[in-house]
Amino acid sequence: MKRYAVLVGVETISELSDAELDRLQTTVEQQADATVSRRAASPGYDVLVHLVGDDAGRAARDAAAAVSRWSEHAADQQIVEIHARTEAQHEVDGLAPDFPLLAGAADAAALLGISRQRVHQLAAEHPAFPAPLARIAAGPVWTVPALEHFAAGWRRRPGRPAAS
Amino acid sequence: MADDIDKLVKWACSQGWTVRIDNDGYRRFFRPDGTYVVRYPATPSNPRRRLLDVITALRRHGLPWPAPSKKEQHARRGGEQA
Repeated sequence: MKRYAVLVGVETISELSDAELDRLQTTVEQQADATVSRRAASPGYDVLVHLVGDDAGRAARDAAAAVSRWSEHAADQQIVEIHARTEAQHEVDGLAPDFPLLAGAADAAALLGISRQRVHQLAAEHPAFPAPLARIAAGPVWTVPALEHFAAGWRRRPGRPAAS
Repeated sequence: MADDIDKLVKWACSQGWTVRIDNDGYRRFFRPDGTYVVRYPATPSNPRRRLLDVITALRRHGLPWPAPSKKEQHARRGGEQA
């Protein structure tokens, strides 16, 4: 048996008032380990139900049945989304950042073990150096994964380049 | 954990959201356009799980979620080594 977090999305004909959403939250919280929130994609609400089950499919069915029970007096609504994950995966997904770590020239210099001046030199001259994500008043901004990718493949040749 | 919900409130407010605490101690999260989204109880039975549920709801409504700061990453690495 594993713990699952099941997101059940319920669509309603019209947007719930704050008071209606509040009543639903109170009803659900009294009966289960669950959180109700307003639905973002369409009028309605989402219920995140936490339960123990044999597998994700069974957990999804149990959660959907519970949500149907809680909303049996509410007309004109239907379940339009069910997404079951283990609690562990729910935590990983829930806290995963929307965008990667960012780095300015000083951060890039520290990451690559070179000076800031050399970062700007590489950015201007090295064909494999990543393009900045943005240029702000403080200078270019890169993503850390792009810099790490560059660092992994960068063949450093210390010293002055040989005279040609 | 109270610290974590306070951090979330601070982050949401910094992104234009409004958080009101009512007489029952619920923290109510409102989108920048004023739409009420979700609430966090005063004394949740499982604070970590409830916090994660609220974060999930807020993110579905467009609250950006950044990577942890260098300081937080350092603290986590330190915690793992301890």
